Amino acid sequence: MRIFPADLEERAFRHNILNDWRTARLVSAETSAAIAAELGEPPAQAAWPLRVVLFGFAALCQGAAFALFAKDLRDRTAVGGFAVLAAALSIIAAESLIRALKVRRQGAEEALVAGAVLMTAFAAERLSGTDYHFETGVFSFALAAAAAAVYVRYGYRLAAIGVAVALGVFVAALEYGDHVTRVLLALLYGALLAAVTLWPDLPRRERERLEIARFFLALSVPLCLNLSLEHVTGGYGSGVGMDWFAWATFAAIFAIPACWLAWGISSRARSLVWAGSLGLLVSFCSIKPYFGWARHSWDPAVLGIELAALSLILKRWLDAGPARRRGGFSSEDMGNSEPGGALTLLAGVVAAGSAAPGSTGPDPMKGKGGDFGGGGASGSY
Amino acid sequence: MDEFVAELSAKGLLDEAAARRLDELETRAHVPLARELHALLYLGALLILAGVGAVVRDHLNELGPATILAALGAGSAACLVYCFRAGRPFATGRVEAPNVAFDYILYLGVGLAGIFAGYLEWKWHLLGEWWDLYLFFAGLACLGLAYRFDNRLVLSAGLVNLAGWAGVRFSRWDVPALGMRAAAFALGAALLCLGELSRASRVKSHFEDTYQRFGAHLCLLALIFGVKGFESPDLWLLLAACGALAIVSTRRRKFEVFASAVVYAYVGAMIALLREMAGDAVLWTVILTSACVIGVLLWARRRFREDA
Repeated sequence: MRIFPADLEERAFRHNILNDWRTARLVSAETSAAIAAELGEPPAQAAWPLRVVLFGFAALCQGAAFALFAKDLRDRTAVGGFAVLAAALSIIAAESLIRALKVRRQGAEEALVAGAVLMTAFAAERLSGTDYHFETGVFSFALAAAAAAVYVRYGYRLAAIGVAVALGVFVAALEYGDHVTRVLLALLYGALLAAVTLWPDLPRRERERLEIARFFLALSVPLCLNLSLEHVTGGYGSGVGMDWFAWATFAAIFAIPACWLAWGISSRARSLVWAGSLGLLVSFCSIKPYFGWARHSWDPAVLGIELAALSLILKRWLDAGPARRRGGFSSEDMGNSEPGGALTLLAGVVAAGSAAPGSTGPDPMKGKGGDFGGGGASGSY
Repeated sequence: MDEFVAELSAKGLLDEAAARRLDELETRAHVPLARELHALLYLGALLILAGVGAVVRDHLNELGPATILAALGAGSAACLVYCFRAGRPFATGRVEAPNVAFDYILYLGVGLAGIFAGYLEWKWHLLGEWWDLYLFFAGLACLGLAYRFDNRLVLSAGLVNLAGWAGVRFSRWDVPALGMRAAAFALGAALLCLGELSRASRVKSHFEDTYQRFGAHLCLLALIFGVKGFESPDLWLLLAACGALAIVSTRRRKFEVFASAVVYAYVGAMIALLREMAGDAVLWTVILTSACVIGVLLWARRRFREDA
């Protein structure tokens, strides 16, 4: 079923592992070259910047072509039929590209496949509905089915995440009310997480590929139950109203990430450790919005101090263990651990933004109101 | 034992110690958490700086200038003194930090010193109309500290400060040739030169990427904002600059810069092209031009045998 043969997938997986070893300086350049020669030619795969650019241009080209030919179609059935045709052509183009260029991941064919998934879902919606409004349920269900088929055929991680997102939208479109929808979404993502984890006879490369989906699913469960998320970024909210459901979700948003963290530590799964930690961080940030308590401008600094202290305490604790390890975990640096690229730029912007004289003190753009009307640049005018 | 490691070991490609170490990692008998520890420290440092900036802004009257300046000065001095005492000696190559928190403490010290200086200027207007000199000197100080302690976070902070200074200063001079875009272009070009210098002189050559990234984006953004149509010289300058960047970055296998050059050139050309068109021609242009770009990129990838 998979377009790429198993031996090619395994070779690509092993080349990726070798790349990680080389980056972490776990093998020398000579050893790495010898292993690479033993593994054979790696399947063609673009570096990520090129992959992103190729994906973007292919998506642009495909979107413009669809808009050009579909814009004059008025009838739902005609639009749906054209979308099916366009999706089929996209898949044919993607498969031709993969076969002709002997590529595994190059961006352009991934965009064609992603476009085909969207067009299939759009076609299903156009062909099934009779009303003028958009059938979100049909669209999202078809999207989930198409994304699942794409994962089976091509093994794209994005497709696995697409399945989860589309199923979530489908559940939300059922309109069972806020409480039931939240619980259903949490159950859905929990069930998908269990399915991904317990799926029998998956080779290791497939399990490793699904780690990102496990992270997404595990993180989504507490986020779906968090009633205060709209208040977390929305300033001084008035709280969520603490009825029994709110109390239950409040307990759940701490208990579930704690379970993920414990599960991640016991199974040594980095994806679950990250999901549990991030989930707990979001839950801690949700305490004040949940109860409608006032937030203070020093809250971020306090949280920052706590995180830094946690990191240092954790490191000391790990280093104090036998052979500088605790339960298989260590603080050993394998290279590339420090933030780089866009994260250094963000750090620069935060440091410079906090320090700029214009940003320190009360709003510098606010005039004091003139005594004689008008905009008033200063109070003494 | 992990299947892959066992195979390599059996073929004699890994010695026993390396095989044991790699097997531990692949079977998750050993999980190094350095990346997670760095992530916590990075996020912590960012939140502390943002929070301190917000406290100073919101609680000026309650705290009073003496408290604010004393707290900021003491915090910043403590961080910087620690770094000078604990830091390793300067070297032209890469210098490992003495401990996991060192880089973030230096970053915090620099950030707090910046807030201190910013508050001083806001409160007493010591430099008046020339307040942007704070940005300039903060930028230079950050660059000095970044070189002294080999810290890319502080280097980025310095470059952002310098970019802010250039923008503010040149926008105040009412001379078209010295407008903000010209300043951004000049600074970007200077950063690209600094990157080249780092590479050629082998003094902190690993800073080259940071200089290159900042420099390329500043230059190309400065040019792209000037593109109005085919008659605009900025368009042709932009295309020439993108072409030069694409050639150099391909030779050096810097694919991030190459990808940026392609995107900037495309956006600039499309701004000029779409001004002349309407209706279906717009869509046809998008289809044909993006297909051309895909074709050129695929050809270039095969031509230069680009690796993942």
